[in-house]
Amino acid sequence: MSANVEPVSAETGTLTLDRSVAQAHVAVGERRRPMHIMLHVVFVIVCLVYLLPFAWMLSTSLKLDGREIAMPPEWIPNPAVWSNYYRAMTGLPMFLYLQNTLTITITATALGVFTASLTGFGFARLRFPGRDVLFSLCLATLMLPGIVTLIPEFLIYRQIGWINTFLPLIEPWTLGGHVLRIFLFRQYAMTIPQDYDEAARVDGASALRIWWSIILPLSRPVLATMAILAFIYHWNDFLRPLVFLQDKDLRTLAIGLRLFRSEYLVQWNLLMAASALMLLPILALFFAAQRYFVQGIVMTGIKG
Amino acid sequence: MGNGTLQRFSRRRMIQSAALAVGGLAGASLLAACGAPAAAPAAKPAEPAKPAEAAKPAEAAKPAAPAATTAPAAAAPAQPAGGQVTLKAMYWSSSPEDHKLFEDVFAAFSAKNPGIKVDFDDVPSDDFQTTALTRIVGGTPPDVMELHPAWVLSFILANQLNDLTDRAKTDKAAYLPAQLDFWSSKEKLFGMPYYSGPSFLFYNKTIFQKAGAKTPEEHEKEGTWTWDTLIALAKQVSGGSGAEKTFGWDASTNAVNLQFYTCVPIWDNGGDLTNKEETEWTLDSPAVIETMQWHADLQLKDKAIPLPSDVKDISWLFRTGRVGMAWAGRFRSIELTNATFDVGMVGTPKGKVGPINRDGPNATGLPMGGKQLDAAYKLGTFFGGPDAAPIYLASGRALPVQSALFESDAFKKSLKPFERSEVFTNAAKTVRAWRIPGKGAEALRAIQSEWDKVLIGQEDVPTAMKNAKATMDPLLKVR
Amino acid sequence: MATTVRTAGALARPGRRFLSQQTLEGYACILPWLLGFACFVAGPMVAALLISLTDWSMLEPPIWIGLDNYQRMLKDPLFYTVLVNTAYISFLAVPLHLIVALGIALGLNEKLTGVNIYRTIFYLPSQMPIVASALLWLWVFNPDFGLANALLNVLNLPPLRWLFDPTLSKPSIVLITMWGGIGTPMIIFLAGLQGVPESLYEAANIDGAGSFARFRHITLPMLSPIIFFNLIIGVIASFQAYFTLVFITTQGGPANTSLIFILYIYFKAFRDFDMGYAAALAWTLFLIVLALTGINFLLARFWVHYEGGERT
Repeated sequence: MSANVEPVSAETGTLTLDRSVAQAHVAVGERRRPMHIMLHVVFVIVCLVYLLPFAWMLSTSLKLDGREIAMPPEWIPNPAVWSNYYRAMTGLPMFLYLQNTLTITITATALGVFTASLTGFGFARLRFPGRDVLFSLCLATLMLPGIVTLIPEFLIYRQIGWINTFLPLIEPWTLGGHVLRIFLFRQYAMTIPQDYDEAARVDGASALRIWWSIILPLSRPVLATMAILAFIYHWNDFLRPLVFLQDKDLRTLAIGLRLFRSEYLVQWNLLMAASALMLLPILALFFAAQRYFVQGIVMTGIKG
Repeated sequence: MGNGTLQRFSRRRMIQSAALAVGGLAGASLLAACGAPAAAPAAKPAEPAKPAEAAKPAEAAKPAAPAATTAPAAAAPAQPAGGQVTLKAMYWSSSPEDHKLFEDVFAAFSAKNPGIKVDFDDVPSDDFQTTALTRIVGGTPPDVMELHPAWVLSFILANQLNDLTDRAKTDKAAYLPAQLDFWSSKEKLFGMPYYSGPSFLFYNKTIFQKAGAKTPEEHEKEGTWTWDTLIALAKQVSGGSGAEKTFGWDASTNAVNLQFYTCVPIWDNGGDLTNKEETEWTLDSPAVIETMQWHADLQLKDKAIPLPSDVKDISWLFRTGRVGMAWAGRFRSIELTNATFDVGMVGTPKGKVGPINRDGPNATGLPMGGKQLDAAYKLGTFFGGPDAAPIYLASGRALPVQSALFESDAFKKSLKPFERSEVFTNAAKTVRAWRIPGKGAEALRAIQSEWDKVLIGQEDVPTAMKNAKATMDPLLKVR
Repeated sequence: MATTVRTAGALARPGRRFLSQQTLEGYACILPWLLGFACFVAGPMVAALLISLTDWSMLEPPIWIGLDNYQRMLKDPLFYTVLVNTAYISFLAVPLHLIVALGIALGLNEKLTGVNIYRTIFYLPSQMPIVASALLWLWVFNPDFGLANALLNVLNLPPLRWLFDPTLSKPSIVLITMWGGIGTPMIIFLAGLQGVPESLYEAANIDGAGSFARFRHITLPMLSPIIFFNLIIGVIASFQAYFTLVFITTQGGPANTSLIFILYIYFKAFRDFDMGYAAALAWTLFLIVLALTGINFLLARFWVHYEGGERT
């Protein structure tokens, strides 16, 4: 291939192209248009299906007590009780719960993504005795259901005085969540060619340096993904907060949500209102993180 | 790559900082890990010491008990030398309004008992058992805990609830005897009731009018309100299809909800669920099979009782106005405030005997390992007593557990327009206290799966009952 | 700049191989996980194994019974039921999720207008608290007035009982998971697709490769580590997931046709006061998932391609 391409900047990823490449580009663009239209059609249909339950959720959140499930179901609530949102937020100390949830979630996410990327890098890039055994062990911890380790975990935390603190929820080594992100980062890191690493090694760079200066900047999409996954995991986690936090002032939103449902009564309208509110921060985060999904770095001259 | 900047991070520095990091973290982790092995063995089979330790608080409580019982429930605060006591209270609420109700009750308790504060831990009911067990096993039991008849037996048999018999010697008289029976075992009392919900029926006056049928209330007045009448009425008022479907009888959604529904028509039919010693289920007896057969017929042939698919967790079907009669407890009343139809109330019908009724009450228990038994007991008796009534009973969510409170202003004030107090009084008086024996949860799942097969036509009723009994009998053996 | 070809990372100095820089660095990197594992994860896992050798109601001290729980498991008809149910759901759901998620991710990667909105909408369902969405699905699949049967009606097909039909309960659950289970694999695929350099596609275009050829020879291999990730995590998760969904919708019914492993373990642990047996079930599940994962790792060498030259 005779194209000469050179990255202009790492962030914007614009290219200076050879004429032949540019021509091929245009030709491909023309071929893509009908496909794009078809994709739009398919996506719109699927989106409508996916959005239907949300529409129902919003509709239900505005209904009167006792009228939420009427047969036949009514889509437009009449009357529309906007005060349900107020009731959902104030019936229980939701703002306090929100504060607690934010503290736990943000700390855990920051710590978690940071350490998961470091550990994942270690498993992906470095050679050390016992690496593969430890990685298998790491992965294996995902496979035991947490129900049966709940009580032993409780006993350990109690012994070191962590019960009734946020610490068990922040430490990013819990079964599940964190290991997943280590594995993800490892997979992603293993797709990055080692050429830059080796060049850096020659210059005497340490692994830490390589991780920080080379691998991390190339991993923005996966880091953004890990951050979102971590955020959502901690945001919605209710069992461990419930069991490990004994003071009701330390409770999280996810626990509050479950209080709308009991043995005989489900407060539908309030449950839906609270769920809708709980979704908002995640939506906001997701929107904000969108730009990291498009990496923009073209790694030419190395791959291919 | 520039050479200069990277030279600073020489290999020696790398090793030095790595060593520092490792050392620091190792030190911290050693401190933490020192605690861990000590805790982990505690979870292992090296625990014969536990019952001995558990027995000691009970012993220590006994000398204090006579002193506590000489003072009536509304006594002046008598707490251990000097100051504030905080009680950890684990209950579950069923809505934000319910949550507030608990808080109001506890506030009133603290007002009446300065020096005792209540820390209300509202645990969602779905997670209550998991949380309670973890806290108790983990060594941080609450001071007071809500008890439920479905699982209280396991706690009692395992000595995990404090024996309240001596403390309650003088307080017992105020309570309805059946209410105390739910929380007793072998003459010992383990819980102080506060919530009672004996069953009765709601009926939809509008549907009966439309069908031109005599209402259950009219039958009750004439003395013809029997289970046979109920079956006939159920068939009469049901009909329609699709979204217009009307059901005659909503038997608490689940025909094999043994503890909270099924026992009643069986008892009224002269039958019983187990033999007297509770060593055998009598599900294959004629009385039981007869009762379950009409349920199956009403559900499958006449379509007069909804199937699980019609009601599963979609909330209370009666509320939608498509059900003629529904089995209910008082906690359902608050759901009918916005009803789009005329609501009527009637008591449990009678059969060959009866009417015998059931209850699904709640009580306050004092878990083993709690250290503030006097204060905890005070809270237990406060809740179901006259001092809490202006708040708790007045909310209209429960029926009184003490007989005198049926005459109280609080109770009278709580009555809604469609509620009839005589139905409530009769319901409370006819309760037979029955807890599901042995491994109740597993037994219920066993009969549920057999009944599922009946509902899809895979099995007939006698076979299902026989199979269920075979699976459930071994579960009656308690360790 | 001259680059000397090296095998990945060997900066060995003679005589210092064990404590080589890389070994130290490696352990330093995994230290956060390793410490946490040693302190908070290993102990409870071993404890759970020991508990599985006891009869423990939690309210009373455990009683040592050796392998009795495991023997009981082999004689327990419900054990085989939950195995079959869980395997059925998992083997159906995981491939479906992966294929659909990959399809959507590929479509979203096409730089359509409004891709941000599409992406958010596709990801949203996986974020709805299951407590709320499970109840929604009961309504959708309601045999009398649910949307599902309404749709069948429009297509002139007879109505079905869905979650309440013993033969349909599992497929209905899998259908429900298609709503909430696509989001996470999708965004992971999206992240992975970003790592496939444009230049490869450009080169292929110039060489005249069609869409499918590009997909087969560029996208799939470059994406294979991520596909592998989603597969492994999918299998591990599906054997333990859907607890809240099944708990709220069918509770394992009708007639135990939707009783999945994790629900059975929960019932045994916290409803039946039978933690010993629950732990034995949990460890058995562990071994099964371990075996399946091991097989996947072994097969990976045939189709997973790492640009960095590493093997799985």
